[in-house]
Amino acid sequence: MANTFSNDEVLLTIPMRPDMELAAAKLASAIAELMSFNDDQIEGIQLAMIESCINAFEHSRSPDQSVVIQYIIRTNELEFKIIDQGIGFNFIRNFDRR
Amino acid sequence: MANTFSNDEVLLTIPMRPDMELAAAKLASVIAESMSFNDDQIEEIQLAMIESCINAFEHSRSPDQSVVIQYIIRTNELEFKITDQGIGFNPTNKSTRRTNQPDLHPDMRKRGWGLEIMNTLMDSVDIMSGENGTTITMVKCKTA
Amino acid sequence: MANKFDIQIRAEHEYAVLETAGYLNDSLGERLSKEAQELIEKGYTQLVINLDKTALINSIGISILIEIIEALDERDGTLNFCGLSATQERTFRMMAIAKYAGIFPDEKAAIADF
Repeated sequence: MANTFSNDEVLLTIPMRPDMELAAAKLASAIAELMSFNDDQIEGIQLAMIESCINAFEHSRSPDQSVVIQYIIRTNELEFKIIDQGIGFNFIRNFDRR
Repeated sequence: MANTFSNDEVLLTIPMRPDMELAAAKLASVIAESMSFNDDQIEEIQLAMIESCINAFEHSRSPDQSVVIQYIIRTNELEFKITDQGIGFNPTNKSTRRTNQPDLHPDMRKRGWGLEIMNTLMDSVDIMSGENGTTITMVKCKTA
Repeated sequence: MANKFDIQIRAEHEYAVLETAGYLNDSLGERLSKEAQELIEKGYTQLVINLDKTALINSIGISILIEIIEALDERDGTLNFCGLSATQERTFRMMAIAKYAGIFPDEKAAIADF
């Protein structure tokens, strides 16, 4: 891990337990604030992060019960990769259903 | 990593770049809050975390320029392990950020307070350091 | 990286107040130091630093505050702090700052001390 770590990346691993989505969201908020995102954007980022974590917590059935989040800092954008090692889900079907 | 990951642990890797210590501190704050630490304790935890991170940023000379932080959640305490893969801790490593002007009052020196701040604000602070890096372990108990 | 920080200055005849907002690290500290030096060069020897809107501070930021105390000491001046959290005040006391600068609960009390 150490050798491939990028200077523009923050890496977080959280256990799938209550409120841990808040930890991921708060970290997102702190990084977005450092990058001078505005308050509305920061709130939007937090809500999206909470939903993506809860989704993994509820549906992934991951054997290791953890979620890994990469926060990738670019000049004008922030990218988030939320990764679980669960059974996967058919996101096209799920979107259709709503 | 996945196989040894504990349900009671949050793992953070940050790059050594300005203000990233705030990300580590705010993560500590939200974890402490969810454990019902009080506001003063949460502030103490944040300040200690900031000091341990900037200590690594300034002195470790780590080749990968990253710091790994484990947040270990226990019933009545929160433990932090702050690890860098630098050259090891040596209090005489000069700060790279500012030139040290002589102190006017010896008891109010300008630099070298990081460890004392951590010791004052946390319940225990241990340092393991060698040529392959440094781990600072800090514990904050809910009932002080 | 940018941060939400700022310095407000309120200069009166006898004294000046510098109020910080945001994380007091090396970069905000350097800006504060520059503003304080300019006030000292204009002849101000009684300064208040109000940290009410600074929730977090690091040891590099504090070292810059000590430089300002030293600069005022050399001119027989006084620096008074206000708006410290309990933890900040504890840290300042541990670092002997309370011996060489005043610590007051609010700006009014810090000014009244001059």
